[in-house]
Amino acid sequence: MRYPNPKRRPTDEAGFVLPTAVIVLMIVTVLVGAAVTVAMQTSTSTTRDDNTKAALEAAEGGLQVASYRLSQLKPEKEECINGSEKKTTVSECKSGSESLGNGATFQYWTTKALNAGEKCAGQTIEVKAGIAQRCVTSEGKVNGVEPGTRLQTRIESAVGESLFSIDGILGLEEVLVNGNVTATAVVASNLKIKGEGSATFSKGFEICPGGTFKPAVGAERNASGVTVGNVKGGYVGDPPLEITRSSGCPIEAKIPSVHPTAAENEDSRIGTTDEFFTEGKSANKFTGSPTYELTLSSNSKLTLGGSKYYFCKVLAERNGELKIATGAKVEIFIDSHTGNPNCPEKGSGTFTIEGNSHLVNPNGPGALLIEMAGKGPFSVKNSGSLSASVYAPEAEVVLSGAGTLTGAVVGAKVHLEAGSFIFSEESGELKVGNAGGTYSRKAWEQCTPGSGASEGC
Amino acid sequence: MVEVLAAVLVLTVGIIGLIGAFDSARKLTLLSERRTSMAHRAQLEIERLQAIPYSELSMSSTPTHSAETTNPDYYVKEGSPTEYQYGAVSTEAELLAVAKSGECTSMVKTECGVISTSPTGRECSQKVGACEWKDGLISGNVYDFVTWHTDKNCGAKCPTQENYKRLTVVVTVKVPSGTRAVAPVRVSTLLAES
Repeated sequence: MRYPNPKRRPTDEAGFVLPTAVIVLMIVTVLVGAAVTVAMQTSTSTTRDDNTKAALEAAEGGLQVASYRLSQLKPEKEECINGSEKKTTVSECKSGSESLGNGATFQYWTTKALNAGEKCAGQTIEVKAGIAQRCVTSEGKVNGVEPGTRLQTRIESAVGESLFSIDGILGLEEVLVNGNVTATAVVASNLKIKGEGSATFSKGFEICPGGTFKPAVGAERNASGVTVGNVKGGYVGDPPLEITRSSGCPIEAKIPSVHPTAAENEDSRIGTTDEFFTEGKSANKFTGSPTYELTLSSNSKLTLGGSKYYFCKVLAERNGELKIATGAKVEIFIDSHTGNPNCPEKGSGTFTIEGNSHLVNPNGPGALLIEMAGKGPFSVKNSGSLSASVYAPEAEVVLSGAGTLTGAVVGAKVHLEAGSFIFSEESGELKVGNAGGTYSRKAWEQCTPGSGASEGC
Repeated sequence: MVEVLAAVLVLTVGIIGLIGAFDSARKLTLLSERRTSMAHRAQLEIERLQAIPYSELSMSSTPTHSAETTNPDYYVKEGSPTEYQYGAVSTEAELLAVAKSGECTSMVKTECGVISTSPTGRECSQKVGACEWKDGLISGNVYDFVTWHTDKNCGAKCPTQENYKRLTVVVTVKVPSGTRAVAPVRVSTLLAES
């Protein structure tokens, strides 16, 4: 039996140092490798985060662009838009990919007006009267990296276009509010607005640069005199004497090309289809061609159920009553030489309601548009009443003697000298068409990843 | 003895290389940290600008061109009127929206702008528009540019120019001297009046 020699040197440690060094080096390499990997992942993540933030802003830009274009193109309720046109096919309700610069792009999808129960931006739609609601989805991408960032918003707009350029009283040259009259709508003029006596501008006024607002002397600081209300923040102790429009001057007298009515001259209905109770008195008449004069006097009654009527002169007096048939939308032209070229003298047509006569219009002022071509005057006086939209850009429009005028007015000179003016824009009665106006955002949501933008959020 | 020397050599060479790699990782992490802060600041600034009334969202004065390529004002193209290059190529430039009445104040409220042109001495926590920002140990400048965007895809029913505004926010970061500069973060969006 052989035993190891205890004096022998432990030669089995030879070659230990180099392998140990290599092992240590490998361990450190692994640790540094991990650190480098983490740093690179952090860098990648940062780049992705940068792109996501830029994509988010690109998507937000897409929402803004879509809202702007909807406001400009004014699609009807059953229409949507792509980039520059109104469309009716749902599959076409999207823009192309548009560049925002710096490698960012966006694309958006729009909807037709939403119906009750549909969903947008995480909310269930509830229908609102006179309001068009739409859903816009936008996807932003940076350098083409998928998936993009998607946002969705619900936007709203009042439906219909305002009949006149000013939703209230527009006197192109002058508006005079005199005596105990309250102007319950915005009063606007290019040149002059004057208040006298106890005139009240309860909804404020707008005047173009260079024009003047003149309340009665000393009344501008006297609440019992001329009151200026709701003007850019409401009544203040010392109201400014002039509120200048910042844009849109001079104010133009214009009405939409599409009116509530579209049919041709229907004067021939008077006395036939349209009932005309003359009470057997010769004063109550419609002369027809060539003078086209309508006179309602001594308790006579005429009901208009057609669409367009052309007169040279209208006079309602002594309890005469001009009535608009329920549901009818009527347009009355006074002295329009396009429709009735035989009026005696161009520009001489008049419209007068006086002597406790009434124009009874159950359909609201938006359903009766009276257009006067000449200088008028257009008068409502002596307890007469009228509910209509009056468009007389060259005429003098006068409300006096306890007359009542409901609706909106455009005239060259508008004189509210006594009586009551009732503005009805708040009820939306002076809108035409069902296209949206300016859209504003009501809800916003960032979409969850994974769903297609066209399918929703 | 030879073996020990070889081990020392291997370790030395290896560790020098690893230190280099570790330093690169550290720099990369620092760069990421800076860029994250910059992107965060840019988004914050964009959202801050979006909350300003549209009519006041204009430059309070015309910025001047800078000869330094690292300065965001380098992309201000002087002329009449002055343009700003919002994109990578020179054709991606738009007219600056400069307020006629200068900076909005308690006395001046119409045709004025709130976007100042120089960040110097303006802390972001105090001022709107160009400002100096700080996030922990990282600090830098914010530059805001408001330009008029013409929508060429809107069709014939839209105004032919100056349809809405473009907001461009450029965020820079300060680095110690001798350190490589960090490219600015640039974020842009569009804003229409509603």
